[in-house]
Amino acid sequence: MAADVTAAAGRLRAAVAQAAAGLVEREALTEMILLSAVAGEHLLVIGAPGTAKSQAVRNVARVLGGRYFEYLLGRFTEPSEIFGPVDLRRLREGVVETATQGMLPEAEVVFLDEVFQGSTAILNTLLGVLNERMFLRGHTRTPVPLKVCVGASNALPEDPSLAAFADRFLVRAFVQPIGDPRLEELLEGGWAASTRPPQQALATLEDLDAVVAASTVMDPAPVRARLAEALRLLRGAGVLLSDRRAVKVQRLITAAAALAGRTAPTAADLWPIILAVPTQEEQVNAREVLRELLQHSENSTLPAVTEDASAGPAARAQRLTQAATALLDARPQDGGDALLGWRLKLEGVARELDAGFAPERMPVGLRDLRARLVEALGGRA
Amino acid sequence: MNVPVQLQPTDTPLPPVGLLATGNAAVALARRALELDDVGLAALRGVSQGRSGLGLLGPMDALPWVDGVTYLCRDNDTPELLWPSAYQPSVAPAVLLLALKKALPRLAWPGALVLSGDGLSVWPLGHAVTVDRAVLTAWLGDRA
Repeated sequence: MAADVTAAAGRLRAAVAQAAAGLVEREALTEMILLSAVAGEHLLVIGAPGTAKSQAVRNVARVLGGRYFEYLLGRFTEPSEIFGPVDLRRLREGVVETATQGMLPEAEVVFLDEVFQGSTAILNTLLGVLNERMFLRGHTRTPVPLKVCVGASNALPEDPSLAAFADRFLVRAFVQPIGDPRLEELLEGGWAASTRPPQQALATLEDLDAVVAASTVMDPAPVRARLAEALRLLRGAGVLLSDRRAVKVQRLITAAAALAGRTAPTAADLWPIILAVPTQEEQVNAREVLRELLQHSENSTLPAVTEDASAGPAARAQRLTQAATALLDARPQDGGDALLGWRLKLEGVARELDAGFAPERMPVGLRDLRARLVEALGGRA
Repeated sequence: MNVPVQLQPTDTPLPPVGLLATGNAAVALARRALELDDVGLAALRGVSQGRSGLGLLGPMDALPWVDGVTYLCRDNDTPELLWPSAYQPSVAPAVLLLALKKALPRLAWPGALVLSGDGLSVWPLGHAVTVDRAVLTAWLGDRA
């Protein structure tokens, strides 16, 4: 069983990595979608329009092979546009049922842009879908196959009446437009994405279910004391998680552990607590406050978001190890531009390694990897 | 009153904005820099330190890599003080910079705090200029 879960996690890792291909600085976001899906929670993405939020979700749905539903909500959006129209045949029989074919109640992965623009009718129905995985409308009472709902907005809602709805999104991601240094990469990736054939599903929903099952039976007791310590540290710094969020963070922790191939959570899996902190400023503060507690964070399936959340050296070392290993295993056979490009990427990894790790603090595995990099680059000293 | 200053390994390195190299590493760095195209070279500013040292400043992605260089970073609040990016000074950069400027009034700032055999020293980088291929070739020619 453990081998099956590890294999499933490996396929999910490959799938999520492919989902992020062609997108710049969205690796952590695609991994957050996966983490939320495994934990049975939902993700709220805050960011300006045009920052590839929907593309990231669409890509994840495609590589998982799940049914996908996407909609841009507005103040005048009718519930039927999200959930489906009233079934007229049943209406003639005196029963108010909703025809949900191809609509949100039948999707495994959902993206709702401008999620807080929805009317009270829409948001109330969504609450049931998000919380209980049940679609309740008129005489329609049906379980939904929803794995993860990603809501997006330009900003967190200020209206207190929306706070309860917003709190249903346990995981919070804040995305920024791409910075100047990576504009060329953005242009190249965006152009290539428009001409690339559709991404194939590298994993399945069965793989997701296998990891979910492993996560569900996991007991967070081994890390509960550390988690409580983290919550106290955050409270001391003025970062408050609601009791509901604090309890639910445990699901993120066991999900992270399951995705990392562990049978029980460890200190390396505490980092998702950062993702449950409600605002961007508080997340920045939380990283600083919990830096020491999260220094051992690592996750081979979610390297980008682990490093992003923990800002820890272990996660950074893991990401560099994976990047370097992949590059070393993919040396072009032909010379010319392909080899030159490969060498430049390898030098980039070597630079980040030397710039980021003092020799006396470099993990043994990373030290060995560095030796391989030096040899591949011809020593150059 | 003397306050000892140390460079301590950090778990939160700042992004590099330059690098230093001495000896064989400096020679290798010069050779590597000469392999860059004109656009790549134009992104870098360089300065030599005596006969055996070479310093380069530039955006992170433009900095070459060779084995043995020391990458440098700086705090945005104290841009005149650089230090090895895998380390952090044991004294707050702002305080350290004030003290160093008082102790080294003639140094061409910005300067880089580096570990050497004698302890800590400061490399002046204020005379760094856009790297010229002919000048770098001549510098290399004297040493290769």
